[in-house]
Amino acid sequence: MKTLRCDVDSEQTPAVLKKIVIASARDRSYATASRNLEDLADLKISAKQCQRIAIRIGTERLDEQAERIEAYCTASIPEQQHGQSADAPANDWNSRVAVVQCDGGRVQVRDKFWGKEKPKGPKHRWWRETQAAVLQTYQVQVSGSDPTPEVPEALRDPLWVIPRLNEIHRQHMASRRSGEPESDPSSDPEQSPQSVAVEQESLAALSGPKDRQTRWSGGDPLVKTIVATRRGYDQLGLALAGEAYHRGFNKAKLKAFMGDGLKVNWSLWATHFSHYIPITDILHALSYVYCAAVASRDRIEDGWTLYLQWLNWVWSGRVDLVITALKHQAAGQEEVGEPVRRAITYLSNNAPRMKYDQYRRAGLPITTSPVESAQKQISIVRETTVGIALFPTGRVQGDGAGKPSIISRTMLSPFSIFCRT
Amino acid sequence: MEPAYLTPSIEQIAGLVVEKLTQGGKLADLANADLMTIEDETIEQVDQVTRVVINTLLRRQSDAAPPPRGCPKCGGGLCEKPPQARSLQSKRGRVHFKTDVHRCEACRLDFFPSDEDAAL
Repeated sequence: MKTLRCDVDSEQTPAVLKKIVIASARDRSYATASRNLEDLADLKISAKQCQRIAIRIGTERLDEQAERIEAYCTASIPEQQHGQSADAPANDWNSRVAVVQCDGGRVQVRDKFWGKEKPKGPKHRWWRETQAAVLQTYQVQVSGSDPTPEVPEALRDPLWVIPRLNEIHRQHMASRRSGEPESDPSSDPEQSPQSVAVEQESLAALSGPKDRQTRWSGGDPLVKTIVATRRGYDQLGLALAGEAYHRGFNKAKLKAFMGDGLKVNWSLWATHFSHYIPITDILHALSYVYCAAVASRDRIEDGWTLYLQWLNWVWSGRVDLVITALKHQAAGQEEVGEPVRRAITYLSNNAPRMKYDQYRRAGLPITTSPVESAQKQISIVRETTVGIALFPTGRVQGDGAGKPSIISRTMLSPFSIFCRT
Repeated sequence: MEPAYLTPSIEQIAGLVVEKLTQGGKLADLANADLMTIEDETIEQVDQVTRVVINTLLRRQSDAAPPPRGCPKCGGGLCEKPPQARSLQSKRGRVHFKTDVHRCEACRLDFFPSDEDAAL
């Protein structure tokens, strides 16, 4: 009914539908969602009903996404870059910045060869890439001065930063080697339990007193929308551009497009978001810097000291100094080590997108943690349990104050996911 | 609108619920009731009140809905059908109400007064 905003054939009120969809999207299976709804909300909804409702609402979200893509594609080029859809929210952009972040993830998907003999020829793999992006607004107070001129304690705390940088580095190396991510550290031959223990001891020795900092990347998060797909980066770009157009991001005085160093991210930026400020995620950059620093010294303590110096340069936007230092180091060696060579290439390619001091002054974030978190949610939490099926595309939406609520679970058979347990 | 002195306060409504629970209700033996029992029984009682309130509001809304001007599809006349009973699961249990239905014999479609687009 139009007045009630409730379908005539619906068996639940909209408030209950919202709970069902949130539970179905957040929980690992429809059966779990059904149990949680009964235990936590006193709602008796069968797993099958959860599935039907989640798929119905998810399909509606996909239709909505298709409409937004259509609206974006039919707009003129100037309108695509400077306009917004008629139903865009009336935001006051004076103290807000608009940020788009994208990233790729990995999931294992059963295809038509599941349970059969694998095809001959190139090695058949179950890993597939998921493409996800976050559209986030931040509340900022632009003061003109750098709010965090000093490097945050977290980035100088080896116990905090080294595991994260190593994880990013491992993912890169694994992707380069085989196109597969290494989600389980124990599966890494270079990361035996013994070496982990030794590393932890070294980190503890390097670590000083703990002093957790306040937020150092961007302002206070406001509204977050997530767009995800498995149809490739072209589709992601369109979905992302359609969503940004719908949310009126073009009207923001300050807007940024963020990603890691992957080329395809910057292709998306050039195709749809060339009027946004491009920013490379600082943690990805630091993973290269750290590996190069450690590889440049015989002792890990000396490598750490060198990392701290280069970290200061990266933090203050003087990446050229790091590149010069790396090239100087490479010039004195007969054979340049892989970490140093890779760091030079990465930093040289991304240097124009690493003016972190300027970004902080403008109130822009410098890490892509929101989209990394979204990818983890998509890849790990929701797709590692028996019975979960993968839809070709998906979208989750937030409702402000940095507290996202998933309103759709867009997963379709026949792409069922491996069970890791 | 009723005068303010006729509108019961929240405390008065709560007092009625307390009376209902303790005078022969599920908390008649209040002295020996534990906290979980008190909480569960209170919520159940208030949920019943909530459902009655929603039912009443939906009925009032249905009564207040303007009569349909004509068939949204063909513009022809509509004939009134018996109200259709509906049941929806709400956050506080199932609510039951009736909604008016009008039918266009030419289109062979039923229409609901508050939704000119919906036809079944």
